[in-house]
Amino acid sequence: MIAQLLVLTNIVGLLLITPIIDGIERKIKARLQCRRGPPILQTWYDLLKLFRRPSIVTEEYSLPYIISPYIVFANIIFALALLPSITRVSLSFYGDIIVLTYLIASSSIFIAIGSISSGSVFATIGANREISIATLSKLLIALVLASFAILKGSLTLEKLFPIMPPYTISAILAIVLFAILAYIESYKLPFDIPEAEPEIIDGILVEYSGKSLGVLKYSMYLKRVLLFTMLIDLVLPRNLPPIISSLAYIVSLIFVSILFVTIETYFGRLRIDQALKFMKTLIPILLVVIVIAYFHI
Amino acid sequence: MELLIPAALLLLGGTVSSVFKGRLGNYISSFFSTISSLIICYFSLNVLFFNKVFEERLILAPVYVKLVSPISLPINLSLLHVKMDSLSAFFCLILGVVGFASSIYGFSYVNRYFKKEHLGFYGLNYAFFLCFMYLVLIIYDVFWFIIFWELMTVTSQFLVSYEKEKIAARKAAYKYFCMVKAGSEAIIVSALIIIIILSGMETSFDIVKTCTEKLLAENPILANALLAMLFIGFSVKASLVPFHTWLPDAHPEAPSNVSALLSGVMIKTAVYMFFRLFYFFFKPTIYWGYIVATIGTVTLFTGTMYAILQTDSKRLLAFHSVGQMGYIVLALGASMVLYSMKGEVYAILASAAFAASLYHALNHAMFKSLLFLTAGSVIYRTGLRNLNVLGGLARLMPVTAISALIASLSISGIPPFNGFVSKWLIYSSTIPSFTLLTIYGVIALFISAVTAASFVKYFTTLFTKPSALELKGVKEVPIVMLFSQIFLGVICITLGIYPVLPLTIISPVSKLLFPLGDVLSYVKVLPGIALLKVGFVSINSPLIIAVSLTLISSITAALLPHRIKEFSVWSCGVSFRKYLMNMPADSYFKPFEESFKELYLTGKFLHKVFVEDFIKRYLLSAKVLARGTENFVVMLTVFALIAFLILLFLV
Repeated sequence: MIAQLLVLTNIVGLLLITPIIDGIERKIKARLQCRRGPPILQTWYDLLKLFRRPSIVTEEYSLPYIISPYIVFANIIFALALLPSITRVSLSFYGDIIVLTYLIASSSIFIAIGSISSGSVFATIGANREISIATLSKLLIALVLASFAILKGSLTLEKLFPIMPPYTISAILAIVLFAILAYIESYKLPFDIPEAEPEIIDGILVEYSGKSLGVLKYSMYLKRVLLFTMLIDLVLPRNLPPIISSLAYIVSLIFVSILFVTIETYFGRLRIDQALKFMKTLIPILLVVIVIAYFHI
Repeated sequence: MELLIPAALLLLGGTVSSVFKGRLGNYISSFFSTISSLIICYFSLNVLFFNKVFEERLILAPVYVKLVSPISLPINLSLLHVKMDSLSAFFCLILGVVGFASSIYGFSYVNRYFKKEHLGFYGLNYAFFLCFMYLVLIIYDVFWFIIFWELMTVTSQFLVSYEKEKIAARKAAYKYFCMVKAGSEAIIVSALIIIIILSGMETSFDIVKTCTEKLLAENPILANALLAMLFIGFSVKASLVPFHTWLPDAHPEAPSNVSALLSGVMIKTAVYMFFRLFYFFFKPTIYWGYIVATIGTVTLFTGTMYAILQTDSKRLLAFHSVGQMGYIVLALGASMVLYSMKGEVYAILASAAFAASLYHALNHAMFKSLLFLTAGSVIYRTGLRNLNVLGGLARLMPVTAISALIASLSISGIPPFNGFVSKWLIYSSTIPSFTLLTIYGVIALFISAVTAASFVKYFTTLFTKPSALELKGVKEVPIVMLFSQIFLGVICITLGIYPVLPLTIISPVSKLLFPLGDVLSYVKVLPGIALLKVGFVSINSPLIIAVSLTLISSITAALLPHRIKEFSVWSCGVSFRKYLMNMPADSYFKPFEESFKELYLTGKFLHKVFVEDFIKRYLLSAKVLARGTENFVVMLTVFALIAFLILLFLV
């Protein structure tokens, strides 16, 4: 029962923290661009405003357009329950890492189906880009996952975290590559192709408004935090005392988001084919990582 | 006698229906098919749940014996030995369920051919096709097996070319028939070798099994050669790469409910024979395991990567049949590899892979036939298969749209649906094996994302994206067609949420065939997932908690009050013209396809070299040969040679 409560604490805590993390990111980004930037709680204000607004739906819509934001939200919450975050407890079972990848992929799929169902052609283009990136990144995630499995001999997240020791080249490489993947999957700037504002007017989000938009945005922030959490869990030592580990987690969450947003500020958007080409170059590297992990290098 | 009742009913129904040219021909055949599918389900459930074994040795009619016996053929042709053990029963259950759904669907669907085609001819072939599939699954005799196998091919071939005015249909049926026939030659030759040389003219499966076991010990080279021939022969039917090229042509051309049967059941008969071959007649070895798993991986990769390119609704589904067969065969091969590796962990992984193969065969039958039925419903109302012009049907045909969504999510393996559990078993048995299978598992995981992508395309272009045509008078399909869609949809969800059901019916199969025994003892089954008993489970029922959390959070979000207003789609200020502002299915995932350009070019090259050029050369040499054999002397020599060979055998 205690474990369940701790998992609940994780999720509630992350639900509260996530918009603040995004607020910090916006602040940092503004400072790097010599602006003052909005207050840290601005994302929370935005979300609350969206939740209060009425939704405007299109005349062409069909059912998935209405329900998919909630399914995406549910997927992300489910995925959050699988990772140890604020408390170091999670729902863990054999092969949960595969379920995690499936949940991430299925959130992309539902975003795509929902936005195409709005009937807007911009949303269709955005969804196409989303799926193209999500599909290729699933290959990369699968390869990273295989290298983790070989490194630690398990498919259970509990046993994967932290990935080091063993302090091997392959372990370090696997973590670095996962960080790159997390960056791509969180649609940070060179890769924010599905929701490109100037090109396809926010792509997948173009026809969403009010509460649906709020839920979708909230789930996107949560997905970002989910990927950061996974990255942190791979590195953070396991046997810390409870309070310190929670603090360490939150500090490193802020650190990762600041790091990523700093990188983001220095890039413009890539074209979709450039992004896919970049992702393709990671495939041989990952294969090499798998091979050297197999030989414990 | 009771085991042959469905077959007799089907033969009767088919024969009677062939008399009527109009709707009655369809109704009679569909009625008999529905009834006998239910009886087949009843038998197989009896076998699987109550451990009954139905066995039947039927002496055929005395007249027939008199006709045969004067020549005194060595094989006992007059004995029909049928037996439904748990492996047969498992596949018979698939046949029964899919046959039931597609027969009911056919009541209404086939009437669209009224006045264009002879409906009695459909009725005859449909009932006979079902009958021969059933007989192939329950026959316990090599000789009769070959006969029924050929008859199954012939009747299904007539169904593929049912719309005889269409050149594409005739071509596809011809290609299908030639390829499958070529494959079955390999089967016939190796079966003849077994019958004549080894088993002393005894053809019962049991006796053949003892012979092959003896052969494996005495002459492993011959045994493996026979196994290879049989494997190639059956893999043409199973449409494994490189023998898959008939399937994407043939399956779309048949009437949609027949496509459901072809994809759902007929190619599974080859899987049934794979299980018989590798676990019943021969012993699973690591080499064969790797060969089978490699072929499976190549198949799933090729099939699905080509499926994502398609813009024809049924052709897309047909390519996915190739891909999903790859999953089934990969799991089969993995189970053989892992079984051959010693150790407790590998035993668990092996039985998970074994269960996954059968589970995925069951799941694929359900969701693929549902998908073909929904594609058929779209054809029924619009007459179109082209994804480029279709669209917006979710508002006009809501139930069909929801069934298609369920099936699409199932085949993509999204968590609460059935495809997820079986695919999950495949990954969790292959990836942690630390062999070549790890890479295969990774490829399978990637391909499931490609599957999902192509079903986003399938679903959205058919149902949710605005249509490029004005679809007038399109409404929901008749109630019988809806019934079979809902029926299969409910099965898809049930098999996903309660994996204990399919695993309970897999467990007698594993008790019969699998050397490690009952798979259920290696797997911990929970709602929505089946966990391997490796490592530990930290919280007793993790998924229930996760799902309840998820449901609570999303429902509260959904229930927060808000108003909804309707407004037109944003189109940059100009008036929204939905027939013009449209993204055709051709342009879906273009960047993704272009990033795999090299792959498709290689495929094109291989197709040119091995299929087109080969066929060209074959036809040319056949022409030369035909000219040559018209010569009287050549004909005489050939006859003499054949006679000599026959004499040689008889002596």
